[in-house]
Amino acid sequence: MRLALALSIAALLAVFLLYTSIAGGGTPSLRPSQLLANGHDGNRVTLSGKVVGHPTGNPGEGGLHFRMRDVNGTATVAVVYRGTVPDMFRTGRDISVDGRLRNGVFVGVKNTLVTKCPSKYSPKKSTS
Amino acid sequence: MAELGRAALVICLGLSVYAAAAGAYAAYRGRRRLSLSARNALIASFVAAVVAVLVLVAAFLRNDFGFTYVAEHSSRRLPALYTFSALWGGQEGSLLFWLLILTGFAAAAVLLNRRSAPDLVAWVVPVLGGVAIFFSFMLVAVSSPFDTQPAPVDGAGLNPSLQNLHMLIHPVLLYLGYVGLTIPFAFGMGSLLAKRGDERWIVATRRWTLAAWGFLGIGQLIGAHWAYVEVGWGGYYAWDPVENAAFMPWLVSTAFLHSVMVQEKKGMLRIWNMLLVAGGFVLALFGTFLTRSGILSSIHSFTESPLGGWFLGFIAIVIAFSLALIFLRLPLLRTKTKLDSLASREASFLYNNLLLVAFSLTILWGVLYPILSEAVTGQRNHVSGPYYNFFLHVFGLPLLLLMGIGPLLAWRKTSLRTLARTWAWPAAVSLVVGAILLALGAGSSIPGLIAYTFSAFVIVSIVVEFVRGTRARKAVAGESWPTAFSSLVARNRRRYGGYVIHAAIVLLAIGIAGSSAYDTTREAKLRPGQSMEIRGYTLTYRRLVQRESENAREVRALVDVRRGTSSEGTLSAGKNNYPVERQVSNEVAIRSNLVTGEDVYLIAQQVETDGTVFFKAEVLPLVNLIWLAGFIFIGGTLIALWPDARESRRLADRYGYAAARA
Amino acid sequence: MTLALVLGAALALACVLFVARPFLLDPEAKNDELDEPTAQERRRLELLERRDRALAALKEVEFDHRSGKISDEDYRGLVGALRRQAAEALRALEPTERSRMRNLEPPTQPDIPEPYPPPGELDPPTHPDIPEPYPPPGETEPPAPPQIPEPYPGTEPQV
Repeated sequence: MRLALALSIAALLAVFLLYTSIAGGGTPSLRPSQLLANGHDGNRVTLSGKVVGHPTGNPGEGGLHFRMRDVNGTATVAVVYRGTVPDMFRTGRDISVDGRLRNGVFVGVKNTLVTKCPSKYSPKKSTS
Repeated sequence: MAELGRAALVICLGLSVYAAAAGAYAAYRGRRRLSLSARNALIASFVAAVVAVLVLVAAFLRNDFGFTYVAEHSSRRLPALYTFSALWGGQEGSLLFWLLILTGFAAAAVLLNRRSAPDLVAWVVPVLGGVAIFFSFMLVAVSSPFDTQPAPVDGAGLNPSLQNLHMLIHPVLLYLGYVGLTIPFAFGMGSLLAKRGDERWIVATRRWTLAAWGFLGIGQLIGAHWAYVEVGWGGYYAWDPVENAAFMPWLVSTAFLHSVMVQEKKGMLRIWNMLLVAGGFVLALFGTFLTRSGILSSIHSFTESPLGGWFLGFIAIVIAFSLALIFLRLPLLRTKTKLDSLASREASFLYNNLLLVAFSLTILWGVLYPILSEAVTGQRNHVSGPYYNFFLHVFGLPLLLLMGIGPLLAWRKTSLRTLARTWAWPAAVSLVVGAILLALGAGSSIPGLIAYTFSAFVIVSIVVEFVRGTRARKAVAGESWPTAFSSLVARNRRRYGGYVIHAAIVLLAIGIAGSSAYDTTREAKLRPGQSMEIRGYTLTYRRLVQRESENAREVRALVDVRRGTSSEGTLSAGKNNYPVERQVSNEVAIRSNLVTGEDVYLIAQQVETDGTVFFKAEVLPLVNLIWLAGFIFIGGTLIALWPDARESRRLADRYGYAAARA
Repeated sequence: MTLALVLGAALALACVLFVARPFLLDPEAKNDELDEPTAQERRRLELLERRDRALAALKEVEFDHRSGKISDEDYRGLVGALRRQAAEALRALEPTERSRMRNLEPPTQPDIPEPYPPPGELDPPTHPDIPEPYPPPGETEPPAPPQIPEPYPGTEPQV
């Protein structure tokens, strides 16, 4: 019994190590200020922040253009995104989007834009 | 009236403190009247919680925006039904709802067991009281739903994503599940506090655990369905931390449901079961914490609030308390019983436990990874779909196979020759199915093909079990096939109910495999009159329509669906504009083929003023099996839960003797 | 707002009364002891669980054999040990049963193993999850009928 348990744990760890060695350690989650400080060589990262200004353009073609700001801060970065825009997207909303920093503009990966519930006025939440 | 609500919560807190303190003292000293008094306090706390909830409900129904909470989550235009969604839609209200269910379940559990296990109940009361203290304290001191303000003219309204039947039911079911897991935890800890090493606590909470687990499962399915039809990205599960928050306790409870059967049959795994029941409860609390603190970025995260710190503190206390108690009572729990054989049903339950717990741990690791990576490297990293899907395959596929293997094994021991015989049919059928599917092109996804093959194996083994059992029953009782079948199930509700649940999980697996491994996606920009092709379907965009509803302006693109020459109906996908909440929502259109289980899924990503629409279309095979599985899951759980007079009599005999005194 | 205060006070009062109820109903309690199982009762409970487990295992094995999940040799190998365990558990219960009978009024049938009811009698009390045992049919079945004792003296709970 003990032996079976020990072998299972060893197997689990082996699988785990296999995965992490192949797939690497996850995607960085950054705020705009962090992204501006370190572009991560144009590698894919996840940018989280607040939508500010007025979004223009078209997520279907040409791209939706907007700016993102640190939730608690002032640094902003320009974002261009194509793909599905989720329900609650609008100015003032906290969002996350995957993408790469290229020439000072964050180019979003398609269909990775995700919104968070809380709004400016009160803690609006979706349920647990 | 807000004062009444606040008073009720303070009273609830006071009663919980009494129930915990007096209850613990009474149990420790063996004082009957004090113990009864503590139990009454626990029951009274439920009444107080009900009063508080009624005050809030009344405020919602009267649109009393002097209540800050009502103003933040409701508006005059909000349809009456969704005021209930608003009730538990915000942080304070959801905590109140938690407290209501907790005190309700606590009262019911102690009342139902007061005669059959009085010494156990004496210790269960203070444990439940302790949990109630935390939640009522939060509501009194940290996050009150009864804050008042000068009433504005209208409230801020409810988030439109919550204005549907799904979000009315989903939180209720999840809470019934989360809170339900408190009861077995309290009984387990109560048993240890009462210095009992027997399985009375398991027997008393068997149906509670099964019901809570069932609610948690269905709640998650409804959440997934909501994500599919409402949030509308074309999927149903995103491995979001909050989704994982409900999934982890469900997995651990699944393990627990199986390992208690091993304890019943062989008296072993007692320590493991205590750890699992505590782990399930801690994960339920952790899940509640995850959705309330802002510590992890998630679609559902509530604002960064001080509540998170309190929750974490409480979780730490519960973990410390449980581990200490289990450690202290180790001599009581230890047994020398061993497994008869690694090829027995007990062993398969053990493997299933290891896989389930391992899977939960990898999910937990994934959920905590951002915090851990930031703490260690200073850089916040996170993992997503690929990480979780990898482990879903690594652990989930063997679990799927085990569902088929386990029932074919006998308790205690099965020789290899017998194994070969009983597995012949299921193995043969599944290999044939696999070969056919491979020929049909299912090889495009290896995990998908494996999932299908294993599913075939499980289905055949379940059918074989039912057939064998019915045949044996027929031989004993001489009944006809239908009668033998129904009496077989009636006499063994847990086992055959369990098989039905397994069948539901298999359907779930097939549905998930089909819709995630074999789906197709196409995007197109269409003007009215233009068409797009996807997997044999032709989607023709006709025109745009607009209409006004109670609280929204709706724009829809009408799209005809044709398959070959036959028309499959019209989809209308588009967006809703909510003026009060100042929000736009996606409204996706889904065309379900109930025969093949396939869905055509249409999103109008962008609607231009000139009528041009950017569409994204998906074809998801077999996805409707997932929802069908939900119904079968409910059926199986009901069968397993159904009261069994014979069993109750037998248990009353067993424990009636023990409590009898001269 | 006074209505709110009145209602609040009423709620508080009701709760206090309910909590004090055991003391109010029974101010001079002769026996304030909480019903706790004695060491003897705990031991008996453990033995009862052991007995139930052994009997359940026996019935399971028979049903599994009957429905073809266990081969004849497996069955023969298992059933002997299980019968022994069941008999041991029953034997261990006897002394506690005897002392309990001294303390209890209604005389109960002691848990003595009885020969298995002859074929034709189809309704012995069952164990949850365990289908009933079967009468020995006329095929290549185990040599001796299994000795399943009447597990329970009666179906009514006795106090």
